[in-house]
Amino acid sequence: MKSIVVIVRNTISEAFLYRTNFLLWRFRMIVRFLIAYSIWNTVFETQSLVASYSRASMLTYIAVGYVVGSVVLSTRTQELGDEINDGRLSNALLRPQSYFIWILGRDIADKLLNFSLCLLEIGLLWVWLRPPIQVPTDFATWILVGVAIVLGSFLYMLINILLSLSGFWTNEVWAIRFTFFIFLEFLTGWVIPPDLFPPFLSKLVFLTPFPYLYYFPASIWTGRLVPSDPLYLQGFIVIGIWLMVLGVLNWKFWKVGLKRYGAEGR
Amino acid sequence: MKELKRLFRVWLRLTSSSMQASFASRIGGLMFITAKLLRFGSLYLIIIFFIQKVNSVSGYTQDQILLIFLTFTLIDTLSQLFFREVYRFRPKIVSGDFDLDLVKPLPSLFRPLLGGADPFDLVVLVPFVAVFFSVAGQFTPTLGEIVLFGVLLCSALLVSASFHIFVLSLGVVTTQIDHAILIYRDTFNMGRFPLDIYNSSIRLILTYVVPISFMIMLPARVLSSSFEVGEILIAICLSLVLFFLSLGAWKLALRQYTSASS
Repeated sequence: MKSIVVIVRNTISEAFLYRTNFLLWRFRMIVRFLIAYSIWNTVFETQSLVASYSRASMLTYIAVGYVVGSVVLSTRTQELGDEINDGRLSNALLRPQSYFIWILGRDIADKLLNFSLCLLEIGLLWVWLRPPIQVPTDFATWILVGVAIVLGSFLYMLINILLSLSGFWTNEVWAIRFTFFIFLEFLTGWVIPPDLFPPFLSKLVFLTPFPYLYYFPASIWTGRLVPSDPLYLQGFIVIGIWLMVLGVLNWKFWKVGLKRYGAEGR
Repeated sequence: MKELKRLFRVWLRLTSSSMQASFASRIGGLMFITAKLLRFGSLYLIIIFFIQKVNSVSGYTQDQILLIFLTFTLIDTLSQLFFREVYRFRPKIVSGDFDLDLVKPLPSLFRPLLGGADPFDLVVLVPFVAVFFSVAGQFTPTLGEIVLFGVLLCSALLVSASFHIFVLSLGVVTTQIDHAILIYRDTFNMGRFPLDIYNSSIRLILTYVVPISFMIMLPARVLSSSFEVGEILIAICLSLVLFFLSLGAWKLALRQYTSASS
């Protein structure tokens, strides 16, 4: 536990060393938010409902999704692929500490930083744009949103580690990651919620891990997903299954990959 | 003219080398091409699903929204095709390899800006253009409008080149290039949808600071026959002004280049 705290502290210090990079990253997130917000705000100027989404519920979904995304989708696990390819993994393996504890610590730090800045940004954006934000009134919803965010964070971390582990077999880690980001961009629901897709596609999408990174926690918050909804329980079950599958895959590939690791570049 | 021919031959050579390097890993190359096609296809489908759910967006019809998106994709792909080398500039500055470009008998901006087209974007441009022509054809533009669209396309690429040159100049002075170019790309991405969806202050920025209005909206409006000649003249003048300003910025940046790492 103490080592995680040290890793978190050092990672935060490192982020403040490269302040410009971090602040420019946050600017890009604000631009993404403005695109999604502006589209839906304009749509609701001429119609009051879009597939049972009201203006308030959709804009709340976009705003909450922005906060959820800043926690769930922030990660440092992409560094693993580069470390494998250029041999820097050797340094990490020599440490008297599990490499996954190292990654977890760095991820926690990244999420803390992004979440803190995101709260400030959403506050400023609320003052500027005054969107109608719905806030859940019951404590259970807040807890379940928190649980969904934590599970989504682990899901995203495991997916990214798995992608990075491909570095043991190929130098083309970025090509694999680029393909993943395409799916991420369209299936998480940051512009259009996946429940607005055609029914057959929507059912398929909800079997993948992507909607549970963004759509799922945001929809619990807005009340679009309630405990009586079949997708509510299905969501947690699907997350659980994906966590187990990805956990096993990560462990397997890590073990096999380490045997192949040649520390090229060192 | 002779100099232009020489530079074109050099560009062809660099593009050929870039293609060979990119396809050295065939699987990686195939993955990139597949991912780019997937991105285009997914976004196209998302917009169609979106259009089916909403009645209209700021008074634009479904076909007009698609045309704007396709115009954006065309300009974005062409920009990335020609100016891919900008993304590889920072390592050259940090390592001092930029010195090797400066001593070559080529304009200083040539290799950093145009040092070899991206072959992946060249491959995916074919289906993009096919879809673009099929959607644009529904508006039955006249020959004059098609020519004007071509002129505005060149103007849009000139604006894009200008911003890439600004980013290169920033890279020479500060080495902070990666996020600067991605900020430009993200701002440009706001042009995927009609700019009328944004509030007035954002629209102002997207018209006069990063002139996406003239780069994307105006060419799309030309094809759908809803434009004024004055706007086209403003677009061309703006692109020329930006281009010359960017060249000035590059010259200023070069004076500050110290080649500290070589």
